[in-house]
Amino acid sequence: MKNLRLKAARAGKDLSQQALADLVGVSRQTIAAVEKGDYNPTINLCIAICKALDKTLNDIFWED
Amino acid sequence: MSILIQVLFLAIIVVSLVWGYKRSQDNHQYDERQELLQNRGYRYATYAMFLTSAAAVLFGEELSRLLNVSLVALVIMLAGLVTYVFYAVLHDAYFPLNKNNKLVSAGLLAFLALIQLLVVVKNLLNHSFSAYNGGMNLLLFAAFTIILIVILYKKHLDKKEAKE
Repeated sequence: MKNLRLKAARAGKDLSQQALADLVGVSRQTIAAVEKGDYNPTINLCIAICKALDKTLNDIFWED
Repeated sequence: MSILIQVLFLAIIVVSLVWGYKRSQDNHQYDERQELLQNRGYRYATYAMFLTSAAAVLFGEELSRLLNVSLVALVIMLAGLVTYVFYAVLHDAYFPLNKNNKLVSAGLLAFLALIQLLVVVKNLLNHSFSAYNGGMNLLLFAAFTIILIVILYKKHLDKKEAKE
């Protein structure tokens, strides 16, 4: 399932996939895969993404 | 002479092990998704080597007319290598995070493939081509060319994706 909240939060911070990838120390393709729902990140990567975007885990990764 | 080759072989093994150990210590080269996919690539490479080995046993008689034992071993190793590289490149797990100049790798592969091709052509022109004379070069040329094509194809896909 696509993670549109991650995409929206990234766009809200005016960050490209590459910029976010550089901030969290992964490849651009990994960020793209998380957004597309092709890859389930580890909790460490989830936390790193949330910190980079100033969001909580619930904001980005919790399904309602 | 054979002792020299054995010592050289052992030296290559030791250097490879030390290099591999040092690389494994540097955990910032690949991210978690890349490592996961690389491990999957190694698994598929193992399956490919099992299948090639089984085929070599099943069709041993037919193969012995075309290839010698060392070439069959090379085919098995190349099947594993090409499978791993094919899978890792197509899933963006082949190049380390900070490696931007992927075309350098493609250039190096093209150079290696060209050298192998020159040896094959030279043997063909001299009418001396056989499994023992140039056969290994033909197999290496095929493997390097396949890997090169996959890298260039992936580069093309990345460009297309960036435009979108």
